[in-house]
Amino acid sequence: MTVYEIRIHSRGGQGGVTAARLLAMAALHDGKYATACPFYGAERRGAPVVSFVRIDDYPIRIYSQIREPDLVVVLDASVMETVDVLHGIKKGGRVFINSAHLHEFAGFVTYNVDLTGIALKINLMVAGSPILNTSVLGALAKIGIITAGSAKGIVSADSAKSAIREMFTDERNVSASDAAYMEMSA
Amino acid sequence: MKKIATGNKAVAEAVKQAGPDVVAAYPITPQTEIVESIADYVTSGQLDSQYIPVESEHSAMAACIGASIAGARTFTATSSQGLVYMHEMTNWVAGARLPIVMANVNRSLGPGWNIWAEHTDAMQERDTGWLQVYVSTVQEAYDTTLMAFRIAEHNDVLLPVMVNLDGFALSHIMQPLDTVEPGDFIPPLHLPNAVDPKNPGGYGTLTAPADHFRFRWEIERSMRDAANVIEETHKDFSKRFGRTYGFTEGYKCDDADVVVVSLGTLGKEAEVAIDILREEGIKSPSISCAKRVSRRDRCGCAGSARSRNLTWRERKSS
Repeated sequence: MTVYEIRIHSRGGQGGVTAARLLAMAALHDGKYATACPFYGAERRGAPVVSFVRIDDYPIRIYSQIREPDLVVVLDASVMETVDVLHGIKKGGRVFINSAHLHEFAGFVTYNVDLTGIALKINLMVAGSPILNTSVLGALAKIGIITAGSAKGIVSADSAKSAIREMFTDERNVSASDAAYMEMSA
Repeated sequence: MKKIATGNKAVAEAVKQAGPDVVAAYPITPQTEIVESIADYVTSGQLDSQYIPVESEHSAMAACIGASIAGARTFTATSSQGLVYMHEMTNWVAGARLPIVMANVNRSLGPGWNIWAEHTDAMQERDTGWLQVYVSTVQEAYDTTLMAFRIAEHNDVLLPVMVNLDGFALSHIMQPLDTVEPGDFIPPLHLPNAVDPKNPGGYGTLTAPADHFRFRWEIERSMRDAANVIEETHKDFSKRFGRTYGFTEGYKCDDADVVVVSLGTLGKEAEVAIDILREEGIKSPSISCAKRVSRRDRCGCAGSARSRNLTWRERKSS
């Protein structure tokens, strides 16, 4: 079982499913296999939701939800008030949180970038809400650089950009992703 | 071209390329993305088709019947309650020998109300005379939908085909999808006995038991002939597009102590389980069986209810 598993926490309407799709698209550009899926429930706008991504060097034969992720991505830190985002995460797993502050969790490697701040700065908004699901790819691509060799499931920066451009014509999405890449600290 | 798509989108893309003349449909979770996408293709001019948004699944299939009798290539999609609601019409489709292709996104029936995957909806259609195929990947959903039109419309078959995909598990999962240019893979439809105003005739008139028996026997015979057509279609598909399918798909079956028989996505997951079990020393391979077969073949492969069709197939191969 070598498949790399990512769970994304967000709120309905924030684009967590699209983030999952973009990650799968980027992985495909990297020459890997990938699947993405939402949690199938009574999802609704504003409620905490999860989506999943699997990335592997081989075709993926699993369709179920991810119970033991290698990486947890939190697009909206406020879901942590009601949801245990660390639930089931693998020993030594990684956590990325969209936040201006670093959240420390014992036993896990934690990263943070203020994706909301990046979106507000360049006015990357939809219906009054900042867009987070494109910039997050830049942040995650940086994890691949930081952890060279050990994070085989993380997408490359070039593929992240290709995936974003495939889906969105607004170049600010790529700028946001670049900014997130730069702001990620080792 | 390789992209990432859901199972629903894969079906819609294949339908776009098969180019039906008429699509009549009613939305239902988890199928809605299929007919929504097709409606979008029609509106944006990507698909030159009559899209009829009807008020129920019963009407959807009724509209498809009218179109198909006129000789039109026809498609619809449904799920669960929608399928059982159109059940009266699904019988009519097979009885009238109309090569309608339908995607059914397998979903449980209520109560208790549940929108998730289960095969009960399609199983209730077993005896209607529809060919049923169960797919396990997004790619297979696309490839099978393309092939379904060619199989259904073949003059040796002229039976409707239902492409089944697991609700959410396949309809909503996003996987790599490689689309093709079908070219002349699906020949134009020439429906014998299509409605012709210059040569009027009766359709669905009263038939006495002897004639009715004959009609049912013809359906049975075409169901058997479909095996050859399916095989030939798979072969041509493989030659043109490089992906090979069969009636069933086995996985590490040769020295099996235990065989898992499954339909749809469960077969793929079973492969993973079998790899784990084999590592633990249990020879329990999966045969993810009956992925693209009619009712009779499936029964045969499952090792239960040996049917005449299987006997016939066995004789043919020996």
